[in-house]
Amino acid sequence: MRWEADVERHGFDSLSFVFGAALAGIGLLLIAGVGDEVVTGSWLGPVAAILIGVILVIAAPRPKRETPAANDAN
Amino acid sequence: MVRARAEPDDAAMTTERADTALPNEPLATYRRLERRTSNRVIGGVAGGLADYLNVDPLLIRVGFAGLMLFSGAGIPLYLLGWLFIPLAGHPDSVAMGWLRSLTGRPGTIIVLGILALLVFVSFPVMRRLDDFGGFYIPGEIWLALGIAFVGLLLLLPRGQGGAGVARPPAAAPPPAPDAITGASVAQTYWAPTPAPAIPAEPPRPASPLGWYALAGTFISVGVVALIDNQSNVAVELADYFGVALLALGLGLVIGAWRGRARALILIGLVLVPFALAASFIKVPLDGGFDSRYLQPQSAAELQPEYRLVGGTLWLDLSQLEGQTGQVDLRASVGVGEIEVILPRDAVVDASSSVEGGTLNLFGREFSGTSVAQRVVGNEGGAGVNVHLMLDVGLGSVYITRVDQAYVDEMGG
Repeated sequence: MRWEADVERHGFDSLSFVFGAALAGIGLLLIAGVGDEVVTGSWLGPVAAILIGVILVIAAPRPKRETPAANDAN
Repeated sequence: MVRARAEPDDAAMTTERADTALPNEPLATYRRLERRTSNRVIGGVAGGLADYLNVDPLLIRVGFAGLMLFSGAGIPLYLLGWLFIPLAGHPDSVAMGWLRSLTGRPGTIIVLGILALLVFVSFPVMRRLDDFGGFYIPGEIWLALGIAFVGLLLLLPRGQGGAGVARPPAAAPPPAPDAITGASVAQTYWAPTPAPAIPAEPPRPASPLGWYALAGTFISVGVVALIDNQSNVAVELADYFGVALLALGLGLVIGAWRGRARALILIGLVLVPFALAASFIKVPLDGGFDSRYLQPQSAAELQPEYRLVGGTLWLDLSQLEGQTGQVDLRASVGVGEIEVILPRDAVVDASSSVEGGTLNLFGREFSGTSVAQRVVGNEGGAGVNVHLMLDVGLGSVYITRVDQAYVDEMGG
């Protein structure tokens, strides 16, 4: 299929995933007609805090783990 | 770029110059209008024009700034310059590059031309049909179709050529390790071998995912616009933004595993504040943008409903003073203001709402989000009965009674 040939597979991109999910979520809220409640309601702050936390967890740099084979070689 | 004429006397005096002279170098002096690549402020258009006209670039920039004061004409003119004037060192302008990429596909230009011709011809034909009770497609439908068409264009495969962008030359392949000549083996002295050149990592091929996602966004918004115009489904402004953000978000989620489209993050972040503001606008988006002033002489002149997408609606009912009868009126403005001036003897029943902004009802002010108030009463008069339903998305509603100063000012 042409689409699959053009758009190559690569390693998981957490930044794209988090922002994509956030934008799609906001879009769904707007379509559901509760966008104004998100802004004026009391749950805007908690949702924003949770979202920032998820972004930090997913996008945090992680140290590379050595494989057992590499340990044996040392 | 300005090239000087090669003077024959100079060539005769110095043999060096004659030896290095290019045989096919044009003798005529010519200037080529190009956009600057350095010492520029935005796109190099003003600098390029100044180079071409041999004047100070400041003059051209002041000219563009001055044109912006006249209905903002400087902006489209600058954009046209950016589109049609090639960047220095590039053979084609941006517009020519696009044209070349289109012409790379046989038949594309012909199809586009036929479509444009059909649209152009259809306007007067359909207007004529409308005169005879036929059908007429209003401008909103064309706008929706146009948005969807732009999305389809983005989906078309892109041909070779591009927008005149200089491409880096392909890296030469590294020499084979066994390509050692006899001469190098016969060397009797040791010399440190230079570190092998590490071939530069080839640039990652551009992913078309972003274009696909943008195409999907335009098509989705176009489809929603068609539903809005052609059906009885109530579509609000926030729905348009919601669909656009959903399409961009899905493109990004796909890009987490396949292709790359991180530029969509920026587009989405720019859209989000507008989308959230739009979620407050729940009034019908009809009537266009306008500043409309209505001063009826009798209740019969009024229509039952007035709508504006944006702008100001003044309803001056002061001329109805001393009259009797009934006024039932509904008005809505998406972004803007509704101002109503009532006669002193009117009996009023006014329901008004603002999703975000201010209500000012006979001097009492209410501000905030989702503000709604109803005012019923009279001031001892027995004049015309005025029943109002006023809705504003973002903005204000202002209702007051006419005072003597106003009557004097209007010459009443």
